[in-house]
Amino acid sequence: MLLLKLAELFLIFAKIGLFTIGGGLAMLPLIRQELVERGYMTLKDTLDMVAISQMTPGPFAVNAATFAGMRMYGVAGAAAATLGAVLPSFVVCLAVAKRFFRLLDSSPTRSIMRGIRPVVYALIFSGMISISGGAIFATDGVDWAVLSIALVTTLLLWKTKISPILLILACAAVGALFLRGTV
Amino acid sequence: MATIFAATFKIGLFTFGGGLAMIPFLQAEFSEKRGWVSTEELANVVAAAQTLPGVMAVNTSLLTCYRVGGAAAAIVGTVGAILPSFLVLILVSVFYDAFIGNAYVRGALRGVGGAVAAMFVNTLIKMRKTNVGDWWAFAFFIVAFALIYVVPLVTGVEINVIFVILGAGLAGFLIFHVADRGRGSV
Repeated sequence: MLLLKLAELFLIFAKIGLFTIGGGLAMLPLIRQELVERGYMTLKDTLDMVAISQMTPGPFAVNAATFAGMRMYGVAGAAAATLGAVLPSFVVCLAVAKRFFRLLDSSPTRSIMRGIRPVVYALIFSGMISISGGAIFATDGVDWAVLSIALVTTLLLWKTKISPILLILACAAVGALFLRGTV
Repeated sequence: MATIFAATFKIGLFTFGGGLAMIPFLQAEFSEKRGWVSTEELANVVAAAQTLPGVMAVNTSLLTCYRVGGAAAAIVGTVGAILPSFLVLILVSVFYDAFIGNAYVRGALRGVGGAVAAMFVNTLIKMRKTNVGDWWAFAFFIVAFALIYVVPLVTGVEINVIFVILGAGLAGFLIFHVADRGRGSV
């Protein structure tokens, strides 16, 4: 029974891993469809998962898979989800490793990617709306504190060279100090 | 082999923020310190890693290590790159379960929620030129956004993201490849 659940988790993350092109944040709409809407995780869990994955070292996708798997079925779940997320990359890269430069330069591949790149952008855009929209525009009104943090951090990320991890830690510190009262 | 494992393990442990953030580390460990790959090779690897499906950090370490020592090195190096995140996250998850009720943790996560929003905005700003640089791309973006977000919201009908990606790939092939070729041969 557990083995079946683990196999299912493995397949879900293999699917997510295979169709993630262009970085971890593009995974989010897929994670929402595959995990939140099927009732494995809540949207709140997803937001925590994003926060924790950003705060910890390593690739976002691996972090997110380990965290999600761990929350669902413990260490076995973490292993199944991470293997699933990583396996497609493994297989695809090993398969093309020998001649990947030629493949990359071929004009059909370029045309296909030209079609897919805007979709990646749309994925990140809708990820932002569902994840950050939930964090800032809560059911009982706008969370002005979080909105201010978001605006200030955006400016700092955009206009300065301060490392993102420092900014995340700073936001965590600000939150721990000043945002404890209301949840 | 042990050196490759140690090098990617170190990179995995100290890289925050995914695939692109590991490039400077790869540059330092694989290129400058050991001379295993050239900077130019690394640049090509990054381009390929971004284009290929899958986790970018895995793609990057796999292709780089393949260059260094073939398939075996690729496997060893990739496991090395992933293992730190895996171990850290297992620890964090256990810790997280115990402390999620803690007011400080809740406050910190609320603060980070703001930072995550900022990260989204920043990623979108950075990717604007490469991903929605011309009118065709903008049209693709609008259609994709409508299918992924607006249609489910309005009609309640969920469209699988995977179909949208495959559809866009096919449309890109037909519009940019087949059509251009047709025009060329006339």
